[in-house]
Amino acid sequence: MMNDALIILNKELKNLFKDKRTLFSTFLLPLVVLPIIFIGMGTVLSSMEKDAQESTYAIAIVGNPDPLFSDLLSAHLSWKGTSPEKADLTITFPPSYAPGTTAQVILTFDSSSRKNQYASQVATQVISAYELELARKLLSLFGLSHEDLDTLEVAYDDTASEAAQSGGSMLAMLVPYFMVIFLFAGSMNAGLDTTSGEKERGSLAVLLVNQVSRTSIAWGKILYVSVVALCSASATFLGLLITMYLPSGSAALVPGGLEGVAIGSTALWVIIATLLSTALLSASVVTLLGCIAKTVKEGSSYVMPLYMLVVLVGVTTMYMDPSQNVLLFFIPIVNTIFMMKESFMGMVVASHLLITILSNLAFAMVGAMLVSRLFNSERILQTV
Amino acid sequence: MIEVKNLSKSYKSHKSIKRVVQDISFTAHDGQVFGLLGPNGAGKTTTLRTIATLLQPDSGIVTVDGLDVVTQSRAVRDRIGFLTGEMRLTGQLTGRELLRFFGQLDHMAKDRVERRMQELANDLEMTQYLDTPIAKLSSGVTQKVSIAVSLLHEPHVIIFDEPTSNLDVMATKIVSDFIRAAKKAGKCVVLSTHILSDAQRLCDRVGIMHEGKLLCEGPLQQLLQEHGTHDLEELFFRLVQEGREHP
Repeated sequence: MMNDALIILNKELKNLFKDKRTLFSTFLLPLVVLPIIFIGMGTVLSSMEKDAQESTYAIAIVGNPDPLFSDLLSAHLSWKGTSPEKADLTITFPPSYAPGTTAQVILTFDSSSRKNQYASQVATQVISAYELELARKLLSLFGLSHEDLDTLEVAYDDTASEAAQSGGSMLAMLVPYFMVIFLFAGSMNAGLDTTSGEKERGSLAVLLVNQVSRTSIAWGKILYVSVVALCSASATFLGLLITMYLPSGSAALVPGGLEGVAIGSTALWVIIATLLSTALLSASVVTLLGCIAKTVKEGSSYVMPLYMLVVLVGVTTMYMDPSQNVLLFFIPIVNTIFMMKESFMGMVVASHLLITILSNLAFAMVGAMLVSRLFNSERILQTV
Repeated sequence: MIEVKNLSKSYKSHKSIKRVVQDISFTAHDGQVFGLLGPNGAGKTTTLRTIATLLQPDSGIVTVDGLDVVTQSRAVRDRIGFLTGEMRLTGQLTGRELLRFFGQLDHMAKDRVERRMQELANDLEMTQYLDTPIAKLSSGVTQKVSIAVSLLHEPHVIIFDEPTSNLDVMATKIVSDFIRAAKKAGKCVVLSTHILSDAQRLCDRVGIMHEGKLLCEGPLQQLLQEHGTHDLEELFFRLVQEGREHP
């Protein structure tokens, strides 16, 4: 049976690799889209930051003529004095303010401007520095320094794994989401084209009139869709690796960059095993829906809600830590995301991996059996 | 030879049962073209798909060269070539690659596939197109490839379901010429069409279907004489009209 299924797989793959448009959407797009997004984002962000740092701001200081404050501001920001009406930023001290007294300082600015946001952040830092300087002066009158007030020091002992500390937790947040999305998207196009698409083109009936069993045909199609889904997810992963190792991309992906992040061989094998089982599951579900649908359009209407569900799961689990709740590893897609999170953070639990793979394969088998049943029934040919 | 005896077939949905073919019987002989004619929805495609083992009859017996389409379906599939007008071959595979693929599906030896491919390419005058991707071929040449696909395994019985629908004049001629050649070679050809002029030119026997029932069946000339009509079109409309008045 598998030999016959491989004939189908071989033909479909040959057709895929000769079709430039499908190759572009399945492999090239996932490969380049993330580097383009993140490198583009990194370049734009650093350019905006540089522009904000180098600009001269019109600032009005109201109610505090202390030269110490304006000198501190000049040390951090290029600015020129103006009236409150013309100012990018107004720093208002109370009318009765005298240096050293308690007061509320109001910063007035338009928060919709990123440059003004930057100016307000710098002004906040300057106010803190000014406050510290005034405190030092006051303490010196009593023969004390500011350091005399620091009686307790806090030290952090991070118990997270090395991988998590070096930026793996940030990867664990983003990568599983993108990979699951592209894996599912890859299986959608191929799965619908090879089932309801063939129904529409009338070629399915001819395919069924030969010496190969229909179960073999069903398996051949599921294997083909799995391979496409896996290739799409792999291209996404490769795209992310490219992004990681390019400085501008890495900085946009994770603040501070990802120079220290390295994916170990164990993590890589866990990711591959998880993706393989997920690809098979995704392929069998999409192929099943494609077989039920009479046309590609109808098939799309069945698959889209499922795709939205995958996106929703991806988004809701994005900020979640890898769960210790074993039951979650029985739920497809959720288990894939958590398993990849564990891999990136260097905290893989063998039982979680086993449950994930077995659960995905069990659901995939149920889907494949239903596809096989449909192929062996007359319903597979229904187009009206 | 194809024998259809008291074939009935219905489609069941949640709400209703639609009787698509109702107790029809006919025989298609070797070396002849049998035309199954009727308007859309008459039950032609369902009948041909049942013969091609794609559907199972609710009742009745269908045999191909004496083999039962239900219990001996794999052997039947080895003897039939099935082509549907709905089929629109496309994709980046060449005709040669596609024929090799179908040869593998039919478990044919490689050298036999190559020999048959060459024979068919010569017969259908498409040798120069064998290595062109299907997507780049004209509708006529694509139809030639479709014919080659259905006949690669040298079937004795050929089932053509609306083979000329959606085809231009040139492509239609290719199909017509091929049907004549198959008949001359002693094959049993069953052709479903709603283009009556094609049927009149090609068919030795016809069966006219309307709303799942076979209104008449027999040699074309005999049917024309029996009903006192000049041509197939007149016969067809008279019978369909009578079928509507006396369902």
